[in-house]
Amino acid sequence: MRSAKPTGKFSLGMFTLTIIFLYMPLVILVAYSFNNSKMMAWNGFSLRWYNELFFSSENLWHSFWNSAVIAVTSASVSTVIGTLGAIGLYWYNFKFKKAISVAAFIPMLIPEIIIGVSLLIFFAGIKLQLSLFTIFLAHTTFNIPFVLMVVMARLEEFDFTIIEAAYDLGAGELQALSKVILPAAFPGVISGFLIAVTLSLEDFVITFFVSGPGSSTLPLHIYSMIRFGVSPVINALSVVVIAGTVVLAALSRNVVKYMFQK
Amino acid sequence: MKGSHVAITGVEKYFGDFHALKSVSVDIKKGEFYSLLGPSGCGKTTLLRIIAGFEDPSSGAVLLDGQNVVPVPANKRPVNTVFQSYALFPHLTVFENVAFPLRLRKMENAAVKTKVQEFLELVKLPKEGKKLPAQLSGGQRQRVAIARALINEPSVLLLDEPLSALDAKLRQHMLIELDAIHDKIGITFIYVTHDQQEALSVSDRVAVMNEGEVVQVGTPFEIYESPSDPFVAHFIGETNYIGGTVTEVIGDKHAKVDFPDIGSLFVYQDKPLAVGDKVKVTIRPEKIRISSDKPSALGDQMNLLEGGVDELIYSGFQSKFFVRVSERATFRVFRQHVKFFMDEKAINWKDRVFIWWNDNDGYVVEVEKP
Repeated sequence: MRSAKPTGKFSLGMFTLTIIFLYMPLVILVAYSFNNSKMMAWNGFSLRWYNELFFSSENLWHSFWNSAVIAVTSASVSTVIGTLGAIGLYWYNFKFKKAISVAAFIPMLIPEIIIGVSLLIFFAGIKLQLSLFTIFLAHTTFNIPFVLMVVMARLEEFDFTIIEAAYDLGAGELQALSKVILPAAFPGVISGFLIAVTLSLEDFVITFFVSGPGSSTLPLHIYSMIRFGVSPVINALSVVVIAGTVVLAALSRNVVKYMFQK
Repeated sequence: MKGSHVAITGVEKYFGDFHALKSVSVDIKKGEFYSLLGPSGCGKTTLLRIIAGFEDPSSGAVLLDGQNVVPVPANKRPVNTVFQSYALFPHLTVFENVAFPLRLRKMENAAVKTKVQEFLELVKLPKEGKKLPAQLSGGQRQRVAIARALINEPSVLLLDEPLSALDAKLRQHMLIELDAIHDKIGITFIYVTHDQQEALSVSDRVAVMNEGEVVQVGTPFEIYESPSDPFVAHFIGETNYIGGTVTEVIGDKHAKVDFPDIGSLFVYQDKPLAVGDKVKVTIRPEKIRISSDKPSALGDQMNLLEGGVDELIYSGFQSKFFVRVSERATFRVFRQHVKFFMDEKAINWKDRVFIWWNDNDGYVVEVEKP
């Protein structure tokens, strides 16, 4: 009789394959960022692409700052709107509540390219010059449903009698909002903000349609560089971005931990 | 006496088609410990929420010291609530939870400190101020909720099934402490519960509710000993509830009633009765004595029946017997184990037994004139 005990060999194999499949490209990318040659052949270790990235890629850094500014501003605005929207949809009763909550989530399902085209037509229609500002508007628009969803999920988790308790103890509507609802929803608000920053930083399709001359973001800039062949500078840039992401993720985890488990 | 006099007059509440409260009128004295007792769905919590201001009555008034508070929003009423789920603010420490109402009033920091400490001591949690609610046990959370509800010095404290989430032992303990807090603070307590033991043990008066109506109001003693309604007789405690016909009226306190399948029994009555009236009588199982020996020298108006033990349940402090006295009539009888169980003469399953009780222990609940 054979033992029925699972050996775990299969799952271990699948796990290894998955890890290789996911991380191998990244490992190669990191390796090639240190390659001395411009070609794919390995030609010795060098930091020349990092040198070029940091000291002679002004256009690239310009796009990077554009991306950063748009990410932070659009994430902030969409976090405020999305949070208030979530609180409103969850706590208050009003006409067309159902319709509004469905409408708020639809942009998440529409293909980005359609949102991009429609925004372009809209901006052209109201004669708004394409610029960083239109990118900001577009990013804020597509970020709101995500923030709304994350904050709603958080609100659904907690016991709503705490709001009645706040009123009972003498709080007015604004005090209940600022002293009870917002603090309780805060972890959701933070995650919503971080998701919005990420989505804004990486967006290509929508940004492609609504960006104007001189208002390139990092993804757009990388795309334009790739058209003339993969420059190893992009490899170096990718490594910097990966490192930055890892540091940010670790940091935000610890910040959230610190704030809620002191 | 501190606290408010609370009068609820003709309060009706509809939720859509559902008639949750049917013209409820209740009068609660200053400083009284008043319970609203009833099964779930009887409207007791709705009534409490109307007093707190979380719901508006469809009609009727809630008067605090003679003033109608229905138009006053919840945050402006001198009434505070201890919620069933405690409803502590998860992001605030115990201290800040209790201090919440004081912070809203922008009270000075030093004054807040002394006052919060005073109330934490009242609920016996003087050292837990720095903890978060998640770090407390259920009983401790309950205490924080009570301190927070009392710190505004309301004139009425509403308690919505505050002990239902605690285990039986802790519940007993908290009940005693609630009673002590009530004695100390002296404000009006309105206590909602579905647990008759809780209601009977601490209340000055109890309003028994059923299907949106107040069925009986009285002291725990009155509610238990002289229920005015079959629902109350059944809902509070266990009972033998039997129907028969009056054959003789004895003085102004007693009567002889013929019960089909049982025979003729003496009962107590405080309502005008006449021969031929149909009556429903409640006899509490703990008032009935049981023995396998026939008792000697019973008084004139004692009731004595003979039967067989159909079933018996041993539950530590007492045993429950189901005694079949005829084909279609069974009595439940409780025997307290006042001595070591084995020292008493044993009564076993299927034994022939005698049960007897005083004429005063059968109480006429309902009377139907022929």
